Amino acid sequence: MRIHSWEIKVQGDIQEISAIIDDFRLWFRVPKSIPVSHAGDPFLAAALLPAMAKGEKLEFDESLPVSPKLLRNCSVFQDIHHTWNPVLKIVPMDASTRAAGPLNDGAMSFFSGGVDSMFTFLKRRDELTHVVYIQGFDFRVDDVSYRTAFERNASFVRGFGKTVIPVGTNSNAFGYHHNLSILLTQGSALASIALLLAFPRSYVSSAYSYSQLVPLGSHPLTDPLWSTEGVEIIHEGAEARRVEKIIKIAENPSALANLLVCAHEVVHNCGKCEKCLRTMIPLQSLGVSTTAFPPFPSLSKIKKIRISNDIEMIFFKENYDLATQTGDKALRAALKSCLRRHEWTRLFKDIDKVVLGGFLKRAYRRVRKDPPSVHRVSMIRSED
Amino acid sequence: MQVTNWKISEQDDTVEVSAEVDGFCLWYRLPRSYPVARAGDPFLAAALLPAMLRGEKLEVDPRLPVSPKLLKNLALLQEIHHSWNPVLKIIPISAQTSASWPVRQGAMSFFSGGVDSTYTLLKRIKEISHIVFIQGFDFFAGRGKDLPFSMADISDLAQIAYKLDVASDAVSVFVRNALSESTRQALSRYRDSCSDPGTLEKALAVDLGKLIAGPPVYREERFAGVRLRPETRRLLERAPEGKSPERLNRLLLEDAYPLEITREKSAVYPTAIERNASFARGLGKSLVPVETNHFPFGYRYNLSRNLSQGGALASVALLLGFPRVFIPSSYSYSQLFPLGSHPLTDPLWANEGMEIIHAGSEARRVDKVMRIAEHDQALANLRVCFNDMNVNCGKCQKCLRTMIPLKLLRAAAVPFPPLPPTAVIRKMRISGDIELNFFQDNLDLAMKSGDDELRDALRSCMARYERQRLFKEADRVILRGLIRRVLRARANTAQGMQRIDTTPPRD
Repeated sequence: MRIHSWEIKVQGDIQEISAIIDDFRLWFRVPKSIPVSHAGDPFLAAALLPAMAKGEKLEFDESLPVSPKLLRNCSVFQDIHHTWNPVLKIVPMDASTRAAGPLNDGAMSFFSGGVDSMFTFLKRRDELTHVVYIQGFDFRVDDVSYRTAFERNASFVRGFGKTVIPVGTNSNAFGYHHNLSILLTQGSALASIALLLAFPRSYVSSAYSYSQLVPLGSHPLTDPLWSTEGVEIIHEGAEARRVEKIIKIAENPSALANLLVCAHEVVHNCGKCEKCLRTMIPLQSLGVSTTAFPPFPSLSKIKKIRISNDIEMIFFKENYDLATQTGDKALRAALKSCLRRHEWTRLFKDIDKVVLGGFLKRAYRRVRKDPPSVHRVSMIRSED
Repeated sequence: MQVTNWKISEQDDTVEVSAEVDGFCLWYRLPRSYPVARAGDPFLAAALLPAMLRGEKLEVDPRLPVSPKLLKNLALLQEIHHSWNPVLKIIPISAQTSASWPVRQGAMSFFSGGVDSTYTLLKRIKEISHIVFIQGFDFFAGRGKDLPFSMADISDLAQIAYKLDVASDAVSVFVRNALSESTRQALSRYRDSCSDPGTLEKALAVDLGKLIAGPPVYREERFAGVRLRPETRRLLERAPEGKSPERLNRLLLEDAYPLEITREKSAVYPTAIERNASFARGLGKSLVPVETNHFPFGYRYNLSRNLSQGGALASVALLLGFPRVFIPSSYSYSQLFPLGSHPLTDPLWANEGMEIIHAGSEARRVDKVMRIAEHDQALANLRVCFNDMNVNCGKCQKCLRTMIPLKLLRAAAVPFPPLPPTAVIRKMRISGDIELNFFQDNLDLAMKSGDDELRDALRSCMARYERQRLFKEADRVILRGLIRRVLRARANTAQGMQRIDTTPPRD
């Protein structure tokens, strides 16, 4: 895999930095006023996992040096990902090296308005000078919605005297080009932007606490490995579980009003999806009223929530524990019945797997005539 | 909790560095030829988790500066441990700071002669100059048994306190009845939160000392359930009439509390050190033997060794002051779970002068065994046994899980007895999900190497384990744990003693 044809183009207020990686032109669009890195580092971060998936040597144009510290760290990064999923091969890297210093002053954090980045923002607000808002990473949205969402977040952040940097990129499409799951590429995609903007300190907000760690693209073991001589990348907030983050956010009315967690909508919270509900439930337990969400659904609706996987179950358990603590018995009972149902489902699946060798699962799939789903390369080996 | 009274003293060819931590004299001894760090860092590392458990501010004697980098790192380390197990509280640390620099050159790795440390040594052979062998972490042996009984003779305070408190065996009933009122009070104060271990230690030492100096403690029915050493038996057979039974009493109590009361040093450690030192010399490396009483220190607070291992290794590394330190990992990146030595936490124990590297997580156990099998000397020196430090028994889980891949690799001259027949392998019990990982690794290798017989035997162990797990899960979900409770009641076992671990207890 070869990285070449690096260029920077200015159009109006925007500068576009791009390079060609094999046959794909990966680009980043950043306001012209922000100094950006002219090194190979951002493209190394973006291209390493695709190169590992292809098992190909990663080569850089002579004119595109990379940080020697980053290059060293990348060998540990490769060890970790290869151990998690051996489909990702350990590949050699060939590049000229040059130590990378910071290009901007201050500290930045990625910001989407969700629970994790809001928590980091509040926790580090004394230190942070900038937040980075990404377009084309989490979701592909139309321009109008993006601008509305951006304006909403920007005005919130300006209220704290911070600057928002909007960054556009097609890195998501690049990952899919190599059939890599977004959960796998999320860490390196954020790192590529942090390395492009080169603040001396960059915060990446964690989604899970230290007690809930699973192999994931953004992980406290791997995120710091993207650091260079001049840029420290910090995986932030893993000391807190999701409910603890929500409790902290609920203490700040303006943060709470600006909270945006929805899996479906960009501008407001739908109040129905998994992510909305897992946030609304603890707020209800805490007795916090907010305009950020539609009214809380009836308990009979809560009772029917399907827990989709074990990770979701962890969040559910946190919410259940909180309801127990705050003494909301009705809500606690509703959550308990969701948890019980999930346990029964899991037990049923385990019985099928251990006793029947997965017969029922295969039969169910045949009856439903489900088309085989797309298997993206992920953090761990696929089970099927 | 205070760290005070730091001392360095030399005796013959040994140098001892000690400090009082919460009233306990924690010491490290090593050959005099090695320089040591004269900072508070090693004792700060050892004291952190006990202080977190007690939720007490940790104060280091201002004359004993600690590294500012270490202090900063420990804030993050505390967050990680608190997140894993909230019973460990985040506490303030007060200390004078002064940057710490290496006291020597080279790179060290901890070494026990097992799979993990041998693999790391081979992988980093060019870089490693010294290997460090610790005695006093896996178990603790002490002074001569003829000296009067003292606090230093208690090696597992938490467990002896538990046994005396529950008093479910005849010896413990007897000892408990012999305790003074104030000792019983200290016992009940200690029971719930390990508070005031110093008072309990002193009181127990006095009472046990009196028991030993008193009339014969032996009664046949009292010691019926105790496995006596040959030496004890011999002495018992010719029990001297009228003579003080002090020595016999002491041996009997040691046998009744084999891990809780310190025994006299045996030849076990010197033999292990000599073997590993000569292996190291053969590779052009030096072995540094370090002796410590960390074992009784950690158990004073009932901390499991899974939890306290990180701080214990770090304290030795900080004392020796090498610029690079390797801590061999037991689990690969894909098998991570909260553990005292972990790739997230190990590097945080470092100061300005050193880098601590959690090494070897890129390899699974079977990969490590493969690497070792290629190296004749390393293979000959391999010791993995649960039961004996110097001879692999060939029967315990750790021996078997190592012998299986060696057999599959057709390694010659292995330091193990022959692999038992597959009928025996088939009956191996898998103790938990961690053990299951090792079985899976061995199964993968058996499939690759085409050994159908071993493959089937391993598969049947794993299938049995999965059925048992499913059964337990069904009991938990459908019957809400009824069967487990009934079985427990029938076996009439009180819930055993639980150590403070990296995560909260499950039930």
